[in-house]
Amino acid sequence: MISSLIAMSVAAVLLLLFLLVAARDLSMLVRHPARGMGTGISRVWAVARTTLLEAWTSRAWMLIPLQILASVVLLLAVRPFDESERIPLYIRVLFTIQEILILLLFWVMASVSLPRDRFFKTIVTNASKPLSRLEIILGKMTGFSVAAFLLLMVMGATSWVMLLVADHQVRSNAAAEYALAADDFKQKEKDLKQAVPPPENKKLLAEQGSLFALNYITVPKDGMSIVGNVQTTPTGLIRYLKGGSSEIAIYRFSPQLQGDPGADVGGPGERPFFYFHFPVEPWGRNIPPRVVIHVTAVRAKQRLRPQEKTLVLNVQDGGTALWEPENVDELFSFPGERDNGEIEVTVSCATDGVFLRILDGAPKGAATDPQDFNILAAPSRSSPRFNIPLPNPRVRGFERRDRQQVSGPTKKEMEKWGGNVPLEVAIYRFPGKDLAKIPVDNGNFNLSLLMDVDKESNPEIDTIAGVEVYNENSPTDRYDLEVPVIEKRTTIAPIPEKYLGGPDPAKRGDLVVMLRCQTMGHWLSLLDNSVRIEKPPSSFVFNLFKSELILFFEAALLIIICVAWSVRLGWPVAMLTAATFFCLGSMRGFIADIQDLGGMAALGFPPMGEHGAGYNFLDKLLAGTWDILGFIIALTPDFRRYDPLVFITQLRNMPLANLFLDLGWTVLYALPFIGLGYLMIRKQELG
Amino acid sequence: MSNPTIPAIETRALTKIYPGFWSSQSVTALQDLNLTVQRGEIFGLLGPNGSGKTTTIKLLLGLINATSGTAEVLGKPSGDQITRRSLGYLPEETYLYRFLNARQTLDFYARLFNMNRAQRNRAIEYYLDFVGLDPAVRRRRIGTYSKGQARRVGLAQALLNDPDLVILDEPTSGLDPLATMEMKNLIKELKKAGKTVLLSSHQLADVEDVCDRICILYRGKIEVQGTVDSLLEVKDVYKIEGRNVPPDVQAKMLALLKEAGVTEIQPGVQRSRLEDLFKRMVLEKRAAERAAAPKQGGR
Repeated sequence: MISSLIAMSVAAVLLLLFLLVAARDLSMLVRHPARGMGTGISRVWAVARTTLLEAWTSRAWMLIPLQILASVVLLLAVRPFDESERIPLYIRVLFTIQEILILLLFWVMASVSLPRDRFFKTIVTNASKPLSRLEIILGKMTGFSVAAFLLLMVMGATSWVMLLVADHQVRSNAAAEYALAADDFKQKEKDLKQAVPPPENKKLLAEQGSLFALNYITVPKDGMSIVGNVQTTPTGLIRYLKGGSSEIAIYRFSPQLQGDPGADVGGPGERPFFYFHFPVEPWGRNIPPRVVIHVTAVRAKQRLRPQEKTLVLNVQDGGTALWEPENVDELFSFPGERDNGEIEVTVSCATDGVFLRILDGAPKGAATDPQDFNILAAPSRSSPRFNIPLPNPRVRGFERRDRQQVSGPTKKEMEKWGGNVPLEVAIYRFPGKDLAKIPVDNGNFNLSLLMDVDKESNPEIDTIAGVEVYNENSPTDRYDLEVPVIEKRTTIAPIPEKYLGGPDPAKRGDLVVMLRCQTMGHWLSLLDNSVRIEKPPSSFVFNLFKSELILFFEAALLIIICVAWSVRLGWPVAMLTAATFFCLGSMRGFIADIQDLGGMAALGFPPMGEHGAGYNFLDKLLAGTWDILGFIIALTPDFRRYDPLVFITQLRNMPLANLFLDLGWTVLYALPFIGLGYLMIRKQELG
Repeated sequence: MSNPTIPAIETRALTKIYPGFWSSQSVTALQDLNLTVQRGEIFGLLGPNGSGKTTTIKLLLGLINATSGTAEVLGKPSGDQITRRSLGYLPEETYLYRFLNARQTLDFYARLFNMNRAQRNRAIEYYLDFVGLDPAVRRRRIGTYSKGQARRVGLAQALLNDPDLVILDEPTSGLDPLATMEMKNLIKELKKAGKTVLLSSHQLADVEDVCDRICILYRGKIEVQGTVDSLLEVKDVYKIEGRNVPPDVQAKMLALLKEAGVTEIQPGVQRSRLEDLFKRMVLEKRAAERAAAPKQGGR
């Protein structure tokens, strides 16, 4: 945090100094100071144009055949998990190739250009013209950036052609496979044999292809939960954690778990503790005498060294338990000591036949009452106050390949409960504030569902998902429908407008969508973005262009850094420095993590227990090293920001706001480097 | 030209010391240079290698920073961006982009002077013809040019903006005698057009032929300064030249001179200079080539 502040101050001072010193040169960029002199911008463009020619004559165009060759080879080599994932995989490959080629080329060219001008003394002739030093470096930066832009546009066009060809092939193959399966199905039906129906997803893939730029709203991070059961009440939804299942309730104490001063030094039974309160409800039989929960607590950022405990709930006392972790220093942040940041506590129930009620926190507008939370954390034994977790804890279900599974009824359950089996539910909560600009057509808005299926039994029948929708403004008014699941393809479900929560967009409540698997022996396989509120799609080509622009921003920033450093340094050192900036800027997360872990702990040595003087010395030395590294990192632009794939590989349209945000950051990152370059070249002797 | 009474160049106690680093010693390249170049004259800056000629020019252009003293060019401090629009500079070597051809090079520099497309095209053609660059090579990269060809493009870029002050650093360096003669004629043309020319060279004959005034630098200091005529006049030597002088007349003249007590008499036949012989030979050859192939040439 401090290093970030210092780094920002350094950048701000540099920028201020630049603005002060370069005021005249900056004004010349837009002024016509005398007859026979245009604006500085026209001179910048003249230099840029020559730089563009430099890139061209340096055979930068070779990048295009190289990209085509590399793309064709790699596209032939990669194999998707599923045909519908082929296009996203191809997009990933195509963009990765472009990114590598463009960054490598312009890293070299931009670092070499100015030193070469100095070496061949062309800069002497240039500087004898009415050209300011600022215009020289801006011209270089602009020229290479324009060259990168043009190359990226051509590479984008070739990528698009490759994707069109690939999509055509995918569609043809899917159509052929569907036709074969349909014939087989008809034949088997004629022969009165049990037959699997032809895959509808293949038919849709053949019809629709994969080149989309979909626009939709998803639930925010942690806005999806899988729970064992739900109960609807006039005030909202009550969620239950199913005993004996894989469900885990996740509670977050943010921004940290506060401990009282000195409360960590007492012995066991004297230190801070967690208090659990889970109202227990039976599932068809009496509550068993022992209800066991398993809890873990860990720092949310690193997730290293989780502390675990199995506890028995005191059912008579309303389902309570108490836990004092062994290493409170790892979880609680005590004044003057390390800030452990956000803490995550997870709870699962091992006892079959019970439901634990999830308490969502204080109802909207009500005062915070500790009784409204499942977990409280006492900062010390004597403190009258508690740390409370964030409201609406997330509940995760059984996970497979990063997907959450929602089980349909089992044969055993059906035999036992008939039609009243309490089914697992996936709950998606769309915040009311996100519902302001939802397009409505014929009194309906569109909910789209993208679900996968795992079939444990009954492979021959289709999976049916039960969808239940309500708005928190009127929780008792439900909209139910059943949707056949078509794997890998989106299913559109029109929902009446009233479920958006009334005509006034400012007063809309959260929209809650619940999904259940209604087919015996089947599982719905879901992601956070499996339920979406659909908006009209955008052009795929335009989306491709936007992703190319993200690559361009990244390349332009690297070019600016390279040119700035090459003003004074020779090209090898300029290249090395620029590469260091790029690498460090791409490793921000990693460095922040090791800095946060501190000293020897970052190397995997446990921080707990007694250590010798040598260990302590090394620990302090390394902690200092990580801090210095952290400071240097804070001075570098965050290159992780440039991810052209984040939307397009999901076939999702990139919002323009995202593009402009990246553009804004690029300008912010670039300005100090332009200032640095100018300050270095301003008084440089060019003879 | 804003004010014709202001000198084109004026330096006062201009000093440049290149600082030493580590084991290398500092070098005084220029010391207290006081120089005035009036508008419309051709001024020669002479001196042996390392005397400070190029350093003076770089200081006047603002390419390097003075250690002390001041320099004004066309009435403004040296290095002023706006003043540079009225300057033309031919460096001692041709420092041009090797990847551009002649037209592209001039187009780049013309853009820096805010010329529109028509002006640029006109100026490029005019100056390429003016410096005599063979049209066949104008679209070839400068990296492939001979030294003389590159030098011509360098001169064209220096004149492209029709400058008031032209600074030529070793303009005849690397040129054959014929091109040298053309260059000297060109410098004289510039004077006729009212331009000021600062010329640095150690080709003394060239300077003598074209300069109005000269100064000789030695180790960064001015040793001699003045008009060429006044500096080169040898007042106690008298010279007569004539064609077809019969031998008996030659003998009589010698006798007469001896009688009058004239010393250090150097009689002899006038020899042509090698330079003149070379020029005559090449010009005759070229004329013959043209006559033999009247329709060839061009692009």
